[in-house]
Amino acid sequence: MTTTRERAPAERAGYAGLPVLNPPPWHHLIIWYFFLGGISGCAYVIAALARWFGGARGRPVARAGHLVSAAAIAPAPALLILDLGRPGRFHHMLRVFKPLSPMNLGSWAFAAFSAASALGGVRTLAHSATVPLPALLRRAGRLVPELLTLPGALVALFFSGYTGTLLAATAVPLWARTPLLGPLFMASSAATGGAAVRAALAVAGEDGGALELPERAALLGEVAIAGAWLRGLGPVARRPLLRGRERALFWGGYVGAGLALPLALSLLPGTVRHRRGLRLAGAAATLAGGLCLRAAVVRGGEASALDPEAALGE
Amino acid sequence: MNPWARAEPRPPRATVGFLTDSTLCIGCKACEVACKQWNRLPADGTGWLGISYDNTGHLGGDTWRHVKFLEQFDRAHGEDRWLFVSDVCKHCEDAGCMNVCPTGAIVRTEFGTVLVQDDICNGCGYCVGACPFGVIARSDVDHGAHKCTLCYDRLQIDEQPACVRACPTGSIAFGPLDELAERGRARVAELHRRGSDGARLWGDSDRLANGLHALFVLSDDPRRHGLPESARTGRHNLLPGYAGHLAVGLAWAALSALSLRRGARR
Repeated sequence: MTTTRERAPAERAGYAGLPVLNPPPWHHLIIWYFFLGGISGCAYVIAALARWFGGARGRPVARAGHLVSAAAIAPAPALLILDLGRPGRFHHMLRVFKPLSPMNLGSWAFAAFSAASALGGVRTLAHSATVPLPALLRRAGRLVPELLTLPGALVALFFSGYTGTLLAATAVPLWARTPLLGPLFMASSAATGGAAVRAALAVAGEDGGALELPERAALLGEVAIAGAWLRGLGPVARRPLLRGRERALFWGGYVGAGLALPLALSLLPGTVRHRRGLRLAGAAATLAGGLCLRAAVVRGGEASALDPEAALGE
Repeated sequence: MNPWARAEPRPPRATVGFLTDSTLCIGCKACEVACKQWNRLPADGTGWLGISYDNTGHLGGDTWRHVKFLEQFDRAHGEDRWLFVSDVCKHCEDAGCMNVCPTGAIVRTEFGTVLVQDDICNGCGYCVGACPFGVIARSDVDHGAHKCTLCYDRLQIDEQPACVRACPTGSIAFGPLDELAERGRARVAELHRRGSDGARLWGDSDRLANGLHALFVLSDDPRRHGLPESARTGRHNLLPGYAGHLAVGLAWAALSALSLRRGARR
């Protein structure tokens, strides 16, 4: 049996090579919250914009946007509460208003947005004659005012990207060495939210062509922001993503499946691209990429915190 | 009873802190034990780490003092030596844990120290990743976040922290922060006179979370002790992060609106 030659303790980085920082003790449920929250927020914004600017052809888009948003936010409370050390005290998140803490600000945004998103979903169902709904719920859903969509969409824009800044406010090198995770998560939420609504429209046999351009722009934005982010991190802090434990998720899942594949599909001629199978395939690739990005960033952050060289290198 | 009533904050007292002089430490770990006894923390066990005679390893939710052993017997130059330093929460001026705490459980006390209010903490774990020194952690016993309180209960009755009382060599000093900094600088000057060129005071620089309330006299590079030369909390990322994210979001929304309107006209 061969053993790897270990460096003597005095030569290892930090205190005998032991970690300098503690990674947050989160379960990986938080990855799903980041992913679904981004989809839900941007699907809501799409619904609002389709209602205001889309005319008659925007109506199916608005319906799909509201329903996707409400469905995506539904599991979020459970995902968040199960991640707490003391889940029974989840409501302590709202005992203060503290903008200095992104998690506190995010909790307020989540409370407001999840209510708006759920009401938007119920309203959409209540106005749809084909959906069977208890009479009382239908009447209640029709009472939800249209005006709610404006504040809802503004909170949704904040809600869709704050999770990146939540990570950037820590001491973990991979997350905090640049402020760019917020913009990156926002762009990724825009792409995944658009892809989810597009997929729902494809399944329903409706036209989602107007969502293709903004999704492509969001993906190109991601390429630019991710590049600047990785450059700003420097060779040591970005190690877990590019060469370390999360390289398969990052390169294969995010860069390959999540950015390159949907961008390549968008270059196909419209007649080919608009076949239902290819519409679904492109949306699925964008969605998988958004999930892989969040998984690689959260898991890579753990590796980054445990690397004494990254923590002491500044 | 008024549910919105707020308690009056306690009147401020002199800002206090620790000065831990590693050149006086003999590695007995009495401070670790005294801390565990006074604060009723569970034992860490006596297993070996495999890298050192230190069998604690790191600060944690149930370990608020930790004596590090630096066994420097393989250095190419200089004499062989065995360094000890008792590590502890730095009670930062710009406290990362307190900044990010979403419940308001972590507060600054009337003594200038940073305290976790255990009856408020909901164990979200955000503070754990926000500490630039890897101090605060979630306990596996009660699932709340914990760290050194600087013996807040003992300070109330003008008693010194338990670790200070237990230290048999005077390596851990307690007192008003400005006096400690002066004392630390005098000690470093004395060590330099005696020929310990590597001696330095660590903790009173603004580059370390705007200054720390726990200062250390060290005989080697702080990084060898797992202590960074500079550390800042993530709060500087808030404004650029939010501004960038909203700019990206608004640009995408504007493009979406244009695209949807063009679709409506077609």
